[in-house]
Amino acid sequence: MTTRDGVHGEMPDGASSLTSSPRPAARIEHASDGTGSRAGTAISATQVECVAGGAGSPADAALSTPQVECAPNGTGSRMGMTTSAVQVGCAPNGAASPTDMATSTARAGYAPNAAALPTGTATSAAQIEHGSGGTGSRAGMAISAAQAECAPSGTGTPAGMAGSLPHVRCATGEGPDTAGRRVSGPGSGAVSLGVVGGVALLVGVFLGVRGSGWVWPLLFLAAVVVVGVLVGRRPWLVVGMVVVTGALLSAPDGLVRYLGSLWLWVAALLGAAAVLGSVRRCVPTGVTVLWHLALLLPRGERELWRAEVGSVLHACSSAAERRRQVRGFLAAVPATVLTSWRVRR
Amino acid sequence: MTLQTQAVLAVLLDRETWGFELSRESGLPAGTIYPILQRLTAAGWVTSRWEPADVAQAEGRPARRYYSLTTEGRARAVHAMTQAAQHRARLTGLFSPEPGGEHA
Repeated sequence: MTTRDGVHGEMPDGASSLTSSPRPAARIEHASDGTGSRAGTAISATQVECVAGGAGSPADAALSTPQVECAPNGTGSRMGMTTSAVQVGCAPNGAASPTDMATSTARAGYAPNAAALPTGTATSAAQIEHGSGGTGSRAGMAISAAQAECAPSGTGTPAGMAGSLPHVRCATGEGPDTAGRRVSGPGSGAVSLGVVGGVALLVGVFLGVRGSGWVWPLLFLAAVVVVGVLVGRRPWLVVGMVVVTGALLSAPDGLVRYLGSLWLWVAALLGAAAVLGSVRRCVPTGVTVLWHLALLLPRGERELWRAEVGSVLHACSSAAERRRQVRGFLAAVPATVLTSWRVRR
Repeated sequence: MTLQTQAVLAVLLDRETWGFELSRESGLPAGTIYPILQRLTAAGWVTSRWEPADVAQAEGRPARRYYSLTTEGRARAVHAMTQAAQHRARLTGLFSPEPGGEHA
């Protein structure tokens, strides 16, 4: 993130706003109740508003000026722009989740339980991702600019596009005042899925016709792709699969083994990522293991031991101390179990 | 009596305390201390009490279990610690050279 000219200010009353002058200047003011914002601009200007109370007021923008407003309680925003890249992220409780935006692609993060909003515009495409309370949607925007507004409940109302001016607004309890293309919320997901599915079908038909005899397999593949998009919400993955599969089908025989190897590597990497992700989610932490190991103790002793563990771990001031105590409890489980049963008898 | 038990008793002889403080002052992990305290409690040397829930809630933390020596436990602990110290001194004396006992 490049910050060339930025001014930070804090407003203790919870309201914050950021306004910047149209050319290379950016100013961010943010609320003190856990809201954090960060901004930087280079070349063109950036405007960001963060409002803790819920309503966010829009900021004006100049030509080629991205504008972001993020709202609600505990929302943090971070924004940085250079000619080619922008980072936008909003997260609750002061945590900021940055998002990268490049000239050709923009992506914004939207954190749950706090309506934060992202914005993304770029020369060719933008992608907005947000979720609140478990809901999430993702949409793609193409060409120039986009405006979006979204509310904290996870629904977003998009706005219109004008010139090369991106404009995204996010406020709590405040509805949009402009109409335009829907870039967030359930509707945007449908648009994105339709586009991807249509592209996949066209590619399938084209390659199938060229290859004569591959029409039905490719149509089947397209159907699978559409289902995959609906289920997985990973359009880029599906498009990549279609492209590689199409290349495999239409390539000369000599190239097939290279493309096959490429496809194999991609599949292997994706599989490895899936396995690692699953393992990371499934392996319990030491504390969880301790909680389950309490089942080895006599019934009357379990809750006492858990309470002891809880009070000790809560008192640990550092992660290192906490790890030491967890390891200590884990290592002493056999002695604790034996002693507990022996004492009980 | 193990060194760990002696360390726990040494802290408890000083004052009533709870798991984490006991761990910090004795230098032992709380997991190691817990079975020791169980044994001492079963033997009647140590008694424990949970602090009132409202106190813990007021401070926003889980309730602590405070351990202290009983009257009988204190007397026995003092005796055991004295014996352990004498034993240690004897052992130390065995391995330390006596004055003038060194020969070239």
